[in-house]
Amino acid sequence: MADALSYLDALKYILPEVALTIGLCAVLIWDLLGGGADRPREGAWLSLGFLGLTCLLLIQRLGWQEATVFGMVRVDPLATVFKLFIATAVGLVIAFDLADRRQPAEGKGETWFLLLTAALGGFFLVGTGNLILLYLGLETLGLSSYALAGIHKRDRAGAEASLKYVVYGALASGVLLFGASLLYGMSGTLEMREMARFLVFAVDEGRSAQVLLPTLLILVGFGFKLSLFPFQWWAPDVYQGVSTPIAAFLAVASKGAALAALVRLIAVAYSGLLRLGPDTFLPETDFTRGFVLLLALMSAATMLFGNLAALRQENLKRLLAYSSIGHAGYMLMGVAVLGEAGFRAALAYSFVYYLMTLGAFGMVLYFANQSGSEDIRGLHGMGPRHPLAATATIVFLASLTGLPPTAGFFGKWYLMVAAWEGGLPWLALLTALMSVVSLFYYFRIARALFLRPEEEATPLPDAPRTPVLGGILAVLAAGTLVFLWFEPLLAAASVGVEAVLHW
Amino acid sequence: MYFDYANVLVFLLAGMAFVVINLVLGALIRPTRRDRAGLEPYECGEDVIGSAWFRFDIRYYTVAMVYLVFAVEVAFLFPWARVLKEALRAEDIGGVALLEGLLFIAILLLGLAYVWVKGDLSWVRSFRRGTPRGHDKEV
Repeated sequence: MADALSYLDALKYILPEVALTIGLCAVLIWDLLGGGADRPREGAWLSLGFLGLTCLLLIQRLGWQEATVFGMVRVDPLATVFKLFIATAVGLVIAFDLADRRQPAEGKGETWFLLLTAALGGFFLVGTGNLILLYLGLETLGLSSYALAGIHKRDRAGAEASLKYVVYGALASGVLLFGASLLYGMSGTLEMREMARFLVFAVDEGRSAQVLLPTLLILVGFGFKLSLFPFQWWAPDVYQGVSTPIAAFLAVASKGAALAALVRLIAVAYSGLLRLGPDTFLPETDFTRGFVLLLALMSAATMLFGNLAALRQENLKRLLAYSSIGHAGYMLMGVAVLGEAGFRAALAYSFVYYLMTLGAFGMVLYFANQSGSEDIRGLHGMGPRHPLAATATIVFLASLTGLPPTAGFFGKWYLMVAAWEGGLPWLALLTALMSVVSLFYYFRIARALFLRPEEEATPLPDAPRTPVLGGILAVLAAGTLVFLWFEPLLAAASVGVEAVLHW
Repeated sequence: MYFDYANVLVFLLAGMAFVVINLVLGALIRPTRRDRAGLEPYECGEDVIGSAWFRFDIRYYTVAMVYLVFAVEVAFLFPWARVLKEALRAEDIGGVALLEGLLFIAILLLGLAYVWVKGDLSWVRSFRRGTPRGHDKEV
């Protein structure tokens, strides 16, 4: 516990965060010294260097004993794995940003500074059992994201996206804070672990309404971050308006962090209420039944909305936004099962989602560089001309649909098994149905790449070559395809879930 | 169990009644003067010029942001400064307490350096290179 550790020992546990903080200050100073506009590559290498250092420190901490330091920061496998998730995702986003030839050079230094700050917020979001630090992490992540969305001041679409994002975000985080304050008022503690006991008292005394209301309010905040129905309205407009690397960041890093934090909150604060445990079956109490039903309905509505709305999209980023809403629905299905198997499947699916969604956004970026367009139309005839990127795209699309032998298939399979065995067979069937629906819109992209005549294509005369981006796409595609990777990912998710359930 | 919420209901009703009663009471007992001065929003202050619905200069927001940075800094530094003396006397956390405070100030100073270098401290702001910058420009 915190008291037993000396200050320096405690500091060792948050060394990755310290490295990241030094890194973001360094990037800001570098930008202020005039590096931002003139030599953007140096800043990117500076950011990537510090992110690499952070990742090394995190990997070193994977085997460490779990600890709570400074009374608030929880260092356990779930936190460390998701910190790695965030840090590597941000690293790839920076690489994407460097490869994006359609953005003005101004604001590069600020972009990287804000990305690192957002990563720091995500670190604290996933690594705490304390509601105040959770909120602080959420806000650091959120505020950086709002600024990132509007980083190009003269870009109308970006400014609109930023404004929509900040208005929705402020409302959602205010509602979440209100819910957290009600929980605090009732239990007198901010620690999720101690809160669990008070929540059980409250429900046993028949005051379940007092528990239900803050729970719903907190779900609103997480629903916004994860773009769950009915809090997903911002996502398509924002993803379409912001630059592609930032959209990838919002879709992957921000969502992954929110998912991990939601799993921790439910698994810890509601553990007593839901009688969660490694080997206990969920007893049928009114609260449990209602909670499962609520999450399941949200999940069903989210996947229905995301997949059906994606059918008619012409803009690739808008399409991916709806598709990412659909995938949030799949992940919530795992959470709704409320047990070890479900949480594990949801977290494992988030890793798969990381690979294929980053890949899909990288694909948009790659082809937008070539054709100058982010519409499906811009892909016409691109397949034969860019065989490597187009093949990688097919892998991502197959994985997003959930076709074997890609990682997406196995991720979805585990989720469906968890839902089926966890008493939600209808949700598993709906997932299968929605996968069929999603085949239609994912296939449209593949058709545009390969089956459309080349005359319709409009390649830019002086399209830049981006071999690094192509390489990243190839690596992500290989990761998506080689499903043997899935075992360690599942193991990582499993260790993470056990760490929170046994806390 | 719903009886527990009775005091919530009482507060709700009392809150609403407070507003209604005071408005009605005021309407009943105050003198009503419908001349020009009586209809001014601020009877004894500045004369009203125009409507409040116009676009505020964006620079006010920058100033407000910079103000916030330092207001928050002061809010955190007062309690720190208050206990620092005792902390310095204590053996184990003295140096750390001083160092952490200085680090906090240093990080905030970075914010000041940022607005300074970006030219937001001067009211008439100049673009540093090539004004105005277009968006479709190939880089």
